[in-house]
Amino acid sequence: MPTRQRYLPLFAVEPGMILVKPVVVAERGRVVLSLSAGNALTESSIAQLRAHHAQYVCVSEEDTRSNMVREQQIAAQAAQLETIFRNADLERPELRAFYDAVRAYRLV
Amino acid sequence: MPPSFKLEDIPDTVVRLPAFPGVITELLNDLDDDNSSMLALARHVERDPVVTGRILSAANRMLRHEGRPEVRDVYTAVSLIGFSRIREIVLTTCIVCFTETFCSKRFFWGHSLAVGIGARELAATVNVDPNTALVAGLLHDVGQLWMSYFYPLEFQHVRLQVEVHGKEVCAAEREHFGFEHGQVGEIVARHWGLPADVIAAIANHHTPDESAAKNKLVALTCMAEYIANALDLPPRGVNRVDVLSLAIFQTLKLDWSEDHSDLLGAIDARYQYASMIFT
Repeated sequence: MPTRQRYLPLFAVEPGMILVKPVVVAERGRVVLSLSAGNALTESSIAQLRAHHAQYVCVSEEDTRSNMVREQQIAAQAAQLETIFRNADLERPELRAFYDAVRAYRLV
Repeated sequence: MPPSFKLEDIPDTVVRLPAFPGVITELLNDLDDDNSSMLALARHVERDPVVTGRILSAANRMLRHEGRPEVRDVYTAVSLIGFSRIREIVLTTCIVCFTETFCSKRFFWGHSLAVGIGARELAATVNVDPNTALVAGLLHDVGQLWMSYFYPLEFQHVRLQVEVHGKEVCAAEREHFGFEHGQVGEIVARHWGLPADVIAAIANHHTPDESAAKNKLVALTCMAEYIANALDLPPRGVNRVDVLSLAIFQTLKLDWSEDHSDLLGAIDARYQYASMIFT
């Protein structure tokens, strides 16, 4: 099963999702919670994240979409981005780099 | 037909706007001093039970989500959530309550929240106070509130020009009002006594070239608006990225050819989280 990386608000996170980026929560300069990348989230670790006011995490999850649905969603996102940037001069390198960065983030 | 109104007449009208919550200015003036901030918050809690109720409501949504017991007073909320988070909740809630007194709040709020969160996230990368950045982002379009409050018909014409005919917002405003919302926002923000760099961010977020080079808050408010529009936060047909000011890139030292998924993901996810807490 393919996976995809997502940045999710904590209320959308479920046990079994794999942390892609480590989470380090510090309070008053002291590390109070540290979760390593590669670990699967559990009920307990999600509760800990909530208790320490974490708002989001970067996880990978199984991509349960069919190939057709995935391609349709990516095409829809690409079309939407083209609309948003339709008046932008993408020959300008800084604007092109910004557009490409947003595409890389959105088209998954 | 544009209203027969001049920019210099605007200061006289600001007193007729709904009262701006003074606690915002007080908290921004005391950001380095938690004791002063706590006093400002306490004074506000004593005199505005409606806003206090909304602050507690937002705090309790967060606490419920965190699996903690709800609280009935701001002081207990401070002890459970921490003063810096409560200060963020107070600033955002006060601006939500304020904008709700305007007829165009639905149009205004989602976009302002996205820009506020983006500015707050960018602030960490350029050593700007995050609460000041949050407020600058939340209030960057306050000139449009003035337009919609005093001239709702002309404001609707502007929206129509932008949303249906794809006209650039500042050009449409100049046509219908003779001035842009950044110019109005500057006057209104000055009247409210907001900090100078917040006023500059409100004034110049559509015309950042010169000011962004001198003022990081202008640059990051402008960049936050580009990001909110590029990520379509919130989804609305008018989100556009047309031009980018080079001065912003230079001031923020942002190189978009590097991987910025973490920044975009943080803004995207924090926006969804805040939408759950504040709307």
